[in-house]
Amino acid sequence: MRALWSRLSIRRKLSLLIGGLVLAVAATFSWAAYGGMRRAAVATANERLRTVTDQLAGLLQNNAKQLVTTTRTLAADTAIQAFLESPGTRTRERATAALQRIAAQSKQVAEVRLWDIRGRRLFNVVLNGPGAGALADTVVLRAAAGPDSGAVGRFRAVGDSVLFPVAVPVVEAGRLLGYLTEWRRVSSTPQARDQTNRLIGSKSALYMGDVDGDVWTDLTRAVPRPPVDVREAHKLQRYERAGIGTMVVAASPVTGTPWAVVVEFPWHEVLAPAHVFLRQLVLIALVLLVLALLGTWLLSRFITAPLVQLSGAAEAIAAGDYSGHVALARRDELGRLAEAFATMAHNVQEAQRRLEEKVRERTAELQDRNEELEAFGYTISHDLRAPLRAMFGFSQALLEDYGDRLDTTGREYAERIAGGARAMDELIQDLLAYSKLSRAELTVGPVDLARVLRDTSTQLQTEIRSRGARLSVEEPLPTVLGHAATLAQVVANLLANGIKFVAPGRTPELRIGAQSRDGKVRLWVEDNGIGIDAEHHERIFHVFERLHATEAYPGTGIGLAIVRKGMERMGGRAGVESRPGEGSRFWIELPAAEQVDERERQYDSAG
Amino acid sequence: MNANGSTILLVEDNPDDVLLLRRAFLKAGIGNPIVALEHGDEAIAYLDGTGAYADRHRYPMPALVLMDLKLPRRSGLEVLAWVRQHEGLKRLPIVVLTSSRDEGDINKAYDLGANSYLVKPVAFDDLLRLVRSVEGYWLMLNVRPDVTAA
Repeated sequence: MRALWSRLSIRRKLSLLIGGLVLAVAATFSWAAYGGMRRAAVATANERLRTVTDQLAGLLQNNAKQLVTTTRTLAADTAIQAFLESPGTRTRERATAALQRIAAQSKQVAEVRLWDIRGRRLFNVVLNGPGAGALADTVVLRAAAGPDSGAVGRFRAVGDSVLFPVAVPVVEAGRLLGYLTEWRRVSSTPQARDQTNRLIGSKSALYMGDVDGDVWTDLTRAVPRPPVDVREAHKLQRYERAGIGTMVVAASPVTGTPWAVVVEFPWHEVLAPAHVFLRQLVLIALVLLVLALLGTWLLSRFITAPLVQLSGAAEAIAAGDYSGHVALARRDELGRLAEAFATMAHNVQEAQRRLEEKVRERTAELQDRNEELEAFGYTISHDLRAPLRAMFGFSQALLEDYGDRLDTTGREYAERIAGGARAMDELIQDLLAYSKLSRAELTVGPVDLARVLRDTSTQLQTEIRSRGARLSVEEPLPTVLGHAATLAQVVANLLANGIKFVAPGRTPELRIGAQSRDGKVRLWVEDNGIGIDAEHHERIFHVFERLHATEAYPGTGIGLAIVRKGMERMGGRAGVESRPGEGSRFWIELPAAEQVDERERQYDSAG
Repeated sequence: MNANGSTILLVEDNPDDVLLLRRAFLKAGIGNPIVALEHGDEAIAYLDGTGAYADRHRYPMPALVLMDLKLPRRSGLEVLAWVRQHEGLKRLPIVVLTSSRDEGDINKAYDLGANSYLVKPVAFDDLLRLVRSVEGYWLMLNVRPDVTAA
């Protein structure tokens, strides 16, 4: 995550940061505003529901009172009073006629019953539609006991309809004659429904029922009792209604009746304004976010575009291209940075140019020195050897032409002159070979070690024969990557070395072999010589390093230096394993030639 | 004039080397007349037959030239170049005999038309062997071309 962040460009980082910030602020603000809005909406709904419920309850109370009053007027009808005074066929007919007259005025009256003062039912008339049937009126009768009273009773369900009784006493001149109960049907006309809707809102629903009973109505038909505490008048309640969702409910008992009224409202409708508000907020936040991102992008472009330009120029300079220019037409920090960068680039270029010039001068100087050195080497090879030839040639001529006239000492002197001249000639030759090895361009290719060994032992034939040396080669010898002439020079020096450093009176015996390992070939030359102390193992490969007097082992002290230098020039190595008195094992190491070269080698040796 | 004489022209500035070479020829039993010249100008004058060398009977066209490279005045390479560009002389067999083993010298000499390139040995025995080989190859075996002086 950290790595990913560090890989992002500043432009992206800035956009991400500011975008995130704007998003966080917008989200917090929106959430807080939505919360406030929601609380307000809930409070408003609460208040409204409670008010509506209270109003409805009051309305129903008045309604009930009015119904009682209306029914008392009915009970005051003389025909009814007459019937209760003296029940008989004639009075009954008259009472029935009076009741039917009334029923024609009010469709809601389902049945009217008349009772004597002891609560026995004397008579009933079913007026509009199905009557109350076997429903008992006794409770209402008890409530209506007394000359000036009247009461409404609990709701009863009859088929689809819901009925309720209104009971009043029938009184004539202060004397209680009996009771009258009127069963009324709960129903509502379209106009009434409209009225209710206006009062409570079209999304709301109104229910009416017994506080204690299970018969409830929505004013058109019987419905199940809402699962709320209808006595709790001042608390907003909530419950789930199947198919609609959460409803928020206010309830209120209707004073003076056994009824209660319930008004419910869908919860989502309560929250709808808050939701609409939230949607608007989110939309605004999105617009803000887009604007912020756009702004950030433009701002970061303004800041990072010159940086991109600068880093491009810096990369070009790192790659060695000084031609790029960073021109920024601005005077702020970035403008100054670009200016400083341009100055720096110019300085670097200038320094580079001066350095190159200096290198060229030095190279030319070195070239001159090198040529001088070569001229010096040429002089050595040419001029220095001329007097040597004279010394050597004339001392030999002296011995040959006048040897008989010289005594032993004279002859020895002449021989020493010749010997000195020969030694010096060898020294010059070796020095020239060594310096040529340091300078020459070596191209490396496959070289057959067997052929190199054959050639060098032929070259050393004179020495081998004069010392009676024995050479044994452990075949096969592989092909390596090297420079044939240099490798021959190296091997010749190794062989000559092995033949030379042998204890007096001992026959030199050399064993030569090769090992291949990890793509490298190690050629070793093992002798039965005097051996070398471990502390000298490195020194002997340096120029002019000698371990013995020239008298005992003549030589220039350059042979092994040629071996080391030659191997280094070919990308190989050289070394020795030895202990005094136990002989030495010199080795050289070169990369093995590829297998493809095998055919070439066979072709070579066949040809 | 047909250059079928047997004179060997030795262009060598070092008197020691001249003496040693003369002794080697003597030791090898080679009786050809040897004319030794000290520098390049002299060699050109001799081959051109001008100045002191106008008399071809005294100074005949040589059968072979043995020439050092490092010479006073005109160098061996310059003489070589002059001869190879000189109509009539350009076929003259010239063997470079010098102490330089320098690759530049060797290649330049061959480029300019040297017939052979030999390095002076230090040991007299080696010199003797060299002289015998030169005589056997260049004077006995080698079939000589026609060389005429201007």
